[in-house]
Amino acid sequence: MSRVRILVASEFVMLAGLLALVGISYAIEAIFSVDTPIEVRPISALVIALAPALLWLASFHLRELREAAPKGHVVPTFLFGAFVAGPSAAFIIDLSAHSFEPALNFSSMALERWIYAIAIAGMAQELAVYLVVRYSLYTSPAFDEPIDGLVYMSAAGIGFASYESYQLLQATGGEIFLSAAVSQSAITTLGHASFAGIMGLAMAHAKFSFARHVHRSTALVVGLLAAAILNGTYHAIMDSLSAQDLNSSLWKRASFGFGFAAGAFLLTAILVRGLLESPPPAQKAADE
Amino acid sequence: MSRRPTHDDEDEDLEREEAKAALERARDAMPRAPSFWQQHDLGVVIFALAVFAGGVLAHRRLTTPSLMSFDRDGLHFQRPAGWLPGIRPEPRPAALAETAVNFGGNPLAEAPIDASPQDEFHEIYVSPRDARRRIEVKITPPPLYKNLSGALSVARMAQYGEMYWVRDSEIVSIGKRDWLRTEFRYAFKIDKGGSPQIAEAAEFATMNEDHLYVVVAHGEGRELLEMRALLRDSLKVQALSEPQP
Repeated sequence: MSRVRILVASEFVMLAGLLALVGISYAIEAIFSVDTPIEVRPISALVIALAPALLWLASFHLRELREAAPKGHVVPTFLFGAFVAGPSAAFIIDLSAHSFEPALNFSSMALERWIYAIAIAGMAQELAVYLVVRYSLYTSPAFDEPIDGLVYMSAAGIGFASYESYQLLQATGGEIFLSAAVSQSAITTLGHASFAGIMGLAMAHAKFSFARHVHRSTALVVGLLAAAILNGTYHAIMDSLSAQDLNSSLWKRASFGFGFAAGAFLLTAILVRGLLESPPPAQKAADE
Repeated sequence: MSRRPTHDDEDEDLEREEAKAALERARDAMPRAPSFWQQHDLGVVIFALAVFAGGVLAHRRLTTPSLMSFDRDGLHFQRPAGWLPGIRPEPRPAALAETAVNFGGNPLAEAPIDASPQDEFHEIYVSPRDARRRIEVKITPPPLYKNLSGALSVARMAQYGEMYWVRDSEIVSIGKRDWLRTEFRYAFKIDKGGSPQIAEAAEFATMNEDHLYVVVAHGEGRELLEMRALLRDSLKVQALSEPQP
């Protein structure tokens, strides 16, 4: 139970840290009366995109110090997520884009929006993050307990989120409100870490269950679908909120983004408890 | 004469059968090496790619724009139905301004504007998503020059000035008729104080009895390729003596 307590406590610390980061940016704007967009150069965009990721990575490192988990694999996995999963997913999604005058449908409930968000963008992103971990650490000795699924997939998801945050900041044309930039970055990181974490739980269950191959594959498929649906739902609603009244959309987006991502986050934390309560296979064999 | 099987022989056969059955049971109980598909969970990847591909097909089907026909003076093609209604561009002043002057050198009159003759048609259809994405249609009397390519080149020069470059020009067959297709780039400003930009265009031109048809698709990159394909698939010219739709 102590491992669960440490894990859940550190997750809440991270959530509080991200909220504090966003709060600080709003406070800076209020104190210095910054009511115009600031210029965001590539370096500052990189700093804003990486700030939530560094908070997360620090939290993982503290957990490793307490639990003697394998060292040195979280940062490379994060880098794989940023430099491999991110560009790969973007490339695949771009190939699918209907370039010529897609039919205009401003309804947020339009079927084509949801199909794009879940089946195209969501599935491509989650598949890319899954493949990065599946073909690096999944079969290695470093992945020897269920919690590793959550840790490594979250790290890859955070790397992906950092890439996406940087691309979004660059797409603003170099000017954005500081609070909007930090909120966007924090929400994106929290969301992708949670979505990838759910897939990580599925991978852990698939690897450490002793069920037949078809059951393991089913667990992976269900995890991938769940992650893609959460990812797509999140982005579809965020896009819908962006299309509304600009004055209130920033607060609506921030509130929804944090609420949704925090909800997915808590779901992951609850699901991982069941996984942690069963000992790893090595210990099971030793006990027997 | 064959020997009758003894009790010992029967026991040996039974032991052999039992050993064989035990061996088969042991073989079945042994875990089999996973296949290549199982080792790499390729079924999961295939499933994900199938969902992705299905999503792409469904999305394209749902977002393919509806088209509407343009029919005038024997020219027919299709364009996106969601585009803005046709805009008649303002007539441009004559390239060579002619002003009357008195003996003191002061102009007596404005430079004459080249008003389009009644039998000329010039309209532009603009995308509501991007004003640079347009289809321009011109139906005019045939040029004085017999050289269609030269006449079109002069017209383009007059319209876009010096800042225009031809990338490619060839004769293509569309619907059993030869069209001159010219791809070019030109510099423009969206408004007077704006920064200059480079646009791309693909022009299709052909003659039909007493008309010169010029259809120009403006856009960039993939959008221009798609518009070009739309025009290539839908351009038709009907003889003017036939009943018009």
